Amino acid sequence: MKKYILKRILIMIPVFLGMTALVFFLSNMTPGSPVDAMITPEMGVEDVEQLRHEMGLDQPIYVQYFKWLERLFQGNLGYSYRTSNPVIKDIGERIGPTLILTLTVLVVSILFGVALGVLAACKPYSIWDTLASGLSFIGSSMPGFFIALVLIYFFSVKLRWLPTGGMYTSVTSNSFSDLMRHMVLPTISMSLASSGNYIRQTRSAMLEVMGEEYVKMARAKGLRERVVLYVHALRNAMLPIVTCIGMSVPGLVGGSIIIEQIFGWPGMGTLMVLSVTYRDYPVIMGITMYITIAVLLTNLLMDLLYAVLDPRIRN
Amino acid sequence: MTEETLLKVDHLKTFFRTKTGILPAVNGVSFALKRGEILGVVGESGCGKSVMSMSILKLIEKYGGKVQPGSSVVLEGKQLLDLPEKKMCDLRGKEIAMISQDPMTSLNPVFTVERQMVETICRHTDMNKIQAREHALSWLKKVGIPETEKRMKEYPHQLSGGMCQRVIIAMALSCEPKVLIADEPTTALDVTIQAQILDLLRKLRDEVNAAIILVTHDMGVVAGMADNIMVMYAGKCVERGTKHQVFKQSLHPYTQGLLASVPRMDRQEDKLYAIPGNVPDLTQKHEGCIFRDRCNQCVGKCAQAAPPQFLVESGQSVRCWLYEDKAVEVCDE
Repeated sequence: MKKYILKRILIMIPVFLGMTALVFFLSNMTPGSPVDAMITPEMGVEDVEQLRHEMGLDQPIYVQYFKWLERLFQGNLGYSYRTSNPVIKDIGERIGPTLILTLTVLVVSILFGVALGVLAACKPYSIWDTLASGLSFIGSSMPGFFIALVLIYFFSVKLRWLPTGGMYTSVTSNSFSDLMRHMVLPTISMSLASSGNYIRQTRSAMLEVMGEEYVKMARAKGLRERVVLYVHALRNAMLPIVTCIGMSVPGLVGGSIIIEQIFGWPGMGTLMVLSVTYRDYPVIMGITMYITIAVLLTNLLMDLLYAVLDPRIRN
Repeated sequence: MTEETLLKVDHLKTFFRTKTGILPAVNGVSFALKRGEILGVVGESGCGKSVMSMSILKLIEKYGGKVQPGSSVVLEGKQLLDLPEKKMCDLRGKEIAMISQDPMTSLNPVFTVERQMVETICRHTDMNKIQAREHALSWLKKVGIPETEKRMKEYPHQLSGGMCQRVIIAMALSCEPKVLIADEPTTALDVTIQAQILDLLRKLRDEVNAAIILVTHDMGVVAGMADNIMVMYAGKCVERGTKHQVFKQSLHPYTQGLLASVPRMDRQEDKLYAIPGNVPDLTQKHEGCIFRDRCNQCVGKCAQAAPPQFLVESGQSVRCWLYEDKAVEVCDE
């Protein structure tokens, strides 16, 4: 097992490097250059060339890439072309809000989705089942931005219960309860979409497991129905559910670009859009690195979780 | 061994609602089981044997079946069918235990043998985890599992089919049940293991003095094990008697057919006998005797009415019009 984990971690290194190379070349190939945004009417052609030279943009792409790598190993991600801040600082400011939102969404949608899925599977064709199918249908068929707009219309515009966007009401009122109030709507819009998936996965996995012989035996042993469902059946149904959750994590760590835009959430999604518009290569690379690492770590975590959940995978 | 009746099943009827109509899977089965008795329940696939076992445990509702009112399952004077689910749940595994047909899938793959055994023992006794573990260990030794300490910590996929079945037997008997329902306990095992498992069941029956309902479609298994035999066909009991009666002088044409289809070493046969036809579709209404289409001794009356259960002099009972004259008593079910 230890050997396996070590192997998995070592394999992450070339994957990570490959990923950075790919994104570096692709983003450099897009038309437009960071210099475009810095040109002022007073500048002549020589001045622009001078600027390009200063930023190292006149060198071949692979040289630029190796320079970027070299700096990376020195722990330097470079400076943002747009704000001139260190990339670490720009991203660091955004990671917090994104993680707060997405982790909340993850927890809420897992709890909600798995609970409702189990309920639906235990009582097929009951009111719970109908409710679960309905919600998962709405969640997976309606785009998040539409749900977000509907929620804003009702809860912010009509009822005036909740703010339309932002993270805090003002710089001075940055209390926890204020943050909570701002998080309700984005959390609901994002959770509804992802829990739809979890509900369906949980329901079908539970239904399958409940037809198994060992569930029948657990009942015949006189175990209480609660224990049969939540210990014997759910534990076996966890595997496909974990897979499903694992696949949605990469989408969440990068922050939802659309939802963050709608609610003016100061997260990674918003930063990413800004950086792409300004051809802010160092920041784009920084964000890519962060997402790549997060995805690789999630995959590793999922594999380990499989082994914990299913002894058959362990050896 | 006392002669008192331990479990009495009367007019047990279980049906399923299906798309094509109501399916009476068990259609009026009655039998009595004495302490320490082994009752062999024989019949081909789909005759309602397993549904009957699940109905006795009152688990059939979880699988879409319904026990019809008027049925009765009495264990030591307690009417099980009227028992609330909570009480019934306490009784399952404690007084009536079950062994199922596929040992490889009957143990939960994600828990160790130890955990599954301790869980059962703790559920039905006052033992704490450490005592329960000792108890489990002693039972695993009794069912002949070598290196018990090591096996306890293993997962079901690390055990062979025979080992799994031994664990299941140990688990089922660890709470010393009064009745053990063994639903085709050896079907999934190869023949040498089969014999060992049956031996084990017989030995442990004597130790715990449990009655066993041995459900099987293997005539060889009942021949070696059972005291009494009940032959089922299409949800009904068609013949009942002691082992010797049923094997030496079977009455019902179906039983005769079943016995004729057992391969014999002492005769040279080119082709094994088979009862013609298939099990009838139970969702359809049948006029007369349900076995009529496949029977080779059909008489005129068979087409007109379904035969009741005739009790003949020897004590055997049979559901066939051929024995109307010889009947000493008619039990209409």
